[in-house]
Amino acid sequence: MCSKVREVLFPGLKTLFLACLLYPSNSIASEPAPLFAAKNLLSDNTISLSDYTGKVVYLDFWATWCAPCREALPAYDKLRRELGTEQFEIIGVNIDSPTSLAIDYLKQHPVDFPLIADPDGDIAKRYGLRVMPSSFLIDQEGKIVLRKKGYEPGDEFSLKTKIRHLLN
Amino acid sequence: MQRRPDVEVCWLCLTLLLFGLTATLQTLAATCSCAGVPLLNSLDSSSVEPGTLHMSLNWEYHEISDLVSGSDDLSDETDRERSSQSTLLQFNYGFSEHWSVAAMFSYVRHERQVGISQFGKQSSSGISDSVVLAKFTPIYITPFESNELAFGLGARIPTGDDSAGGDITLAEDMQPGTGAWAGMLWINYARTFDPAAKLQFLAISNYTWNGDNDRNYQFGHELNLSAGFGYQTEVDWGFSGLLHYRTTDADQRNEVEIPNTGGEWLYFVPALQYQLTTKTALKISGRLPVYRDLNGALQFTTSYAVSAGVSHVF
Repeated sequence: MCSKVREVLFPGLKTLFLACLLYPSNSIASEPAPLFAAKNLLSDNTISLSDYTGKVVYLDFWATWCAPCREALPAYDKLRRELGTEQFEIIGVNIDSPTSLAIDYLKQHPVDFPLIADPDGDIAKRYGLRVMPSSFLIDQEGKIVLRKKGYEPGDEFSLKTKIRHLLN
Repeated sequence: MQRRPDVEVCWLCLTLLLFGLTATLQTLAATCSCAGVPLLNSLDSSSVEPGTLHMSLNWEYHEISDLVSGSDDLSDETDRERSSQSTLLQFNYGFSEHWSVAAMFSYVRHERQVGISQFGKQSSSGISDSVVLAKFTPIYITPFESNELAFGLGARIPTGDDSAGGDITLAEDMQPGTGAWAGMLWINYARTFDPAAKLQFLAISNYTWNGDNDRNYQFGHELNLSAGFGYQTEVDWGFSGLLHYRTTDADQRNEVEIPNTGGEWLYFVPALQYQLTTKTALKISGRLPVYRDLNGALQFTTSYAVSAGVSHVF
């Protein structure tokens, strides 16, 4: 019995192992991005995803309690300056509660891209957010083309390549 | 039928290996800093995102030379040494929001020395049994949910060799596998105390129903309970400490209970993890006996165990 089990199991294990090695680090999806409209974190106006139809959007969920999120903010701000905002935009979705934590943080570490507040996680839940940081790259047609989890310095370089590919 | 105390060692090794699947490598659910890498690595993370694969490779050294009568430690005057080394390859794959499957494959090496004679030395090695567990996680930790609850149902598959030894088959305690199927029920609960899930309370339990092998030997059914806390620093380090209670029925051969098998154990299981990258983590852990109350007059049991491993999320 054991030898028969091994005959089936170990080729299966080998296949699974190879699949692991080939599995992409960040899953690539192609589904419509859930639409949202939310209050600008730093002003009274409302920001809607639909306002950016026709542009590539990078949606970045962040919080002040998340160290990699904080580390990513200036890198994404720089990326935005390099790519310009004619065809591309970054929207930062802050999930701090209370929101004042983020407002205080941004006074010390300002960024130029639009920021919205999602303290109850209404938007985060619609995007199926589980870990922080999480980001979503949305193409000109409003489809999610990349789900990115985590941030390490240098990630923005490969991200820039992907965005440029979408823009061309 | 009187069974040698060594036989219990086999069951001890195997069940602790299996418990490696469900408790000692318990993970802290991650909401920050780690892109979903289980903070204390391995398979036992109940919350796995759809399409995400956690893989870990662990090595464990298990010294099994304490001689115990009931709850009393005895002095072993036979110069006996017994140890096992195990390498465990573990996978945890999320199929959907609430469903995942875990699998563990292992390779073991047993060594035993009785007395100082060279003839008293025995060893065996080979692929051991495997475990597959289907897990349902109705509630999982996110920045907006502080509780996690998961249930699992699975089986131990007799993939290991249970007839090692050539012409003279080695005793059960020296076999890489049990030769028997087993059913497993697993329940996991975790609670966080902040959105980043830095501090977590962890509770894990499992129950194993053991079948008998071709030699009509059945290891005792087993219950494991673990509870403790884990803490993740803001960036790279994680710690945990669990108390692990284990109890087993006596083993049976031909449905007759075997003396000197089964009992109760309590271990302290500390672990330390370092996050190498957002997707890769290294971990070391130990298992130290705190209390035991074992059936029969004599049983050899755990002196200590140490393990080291690496995990990666794909």
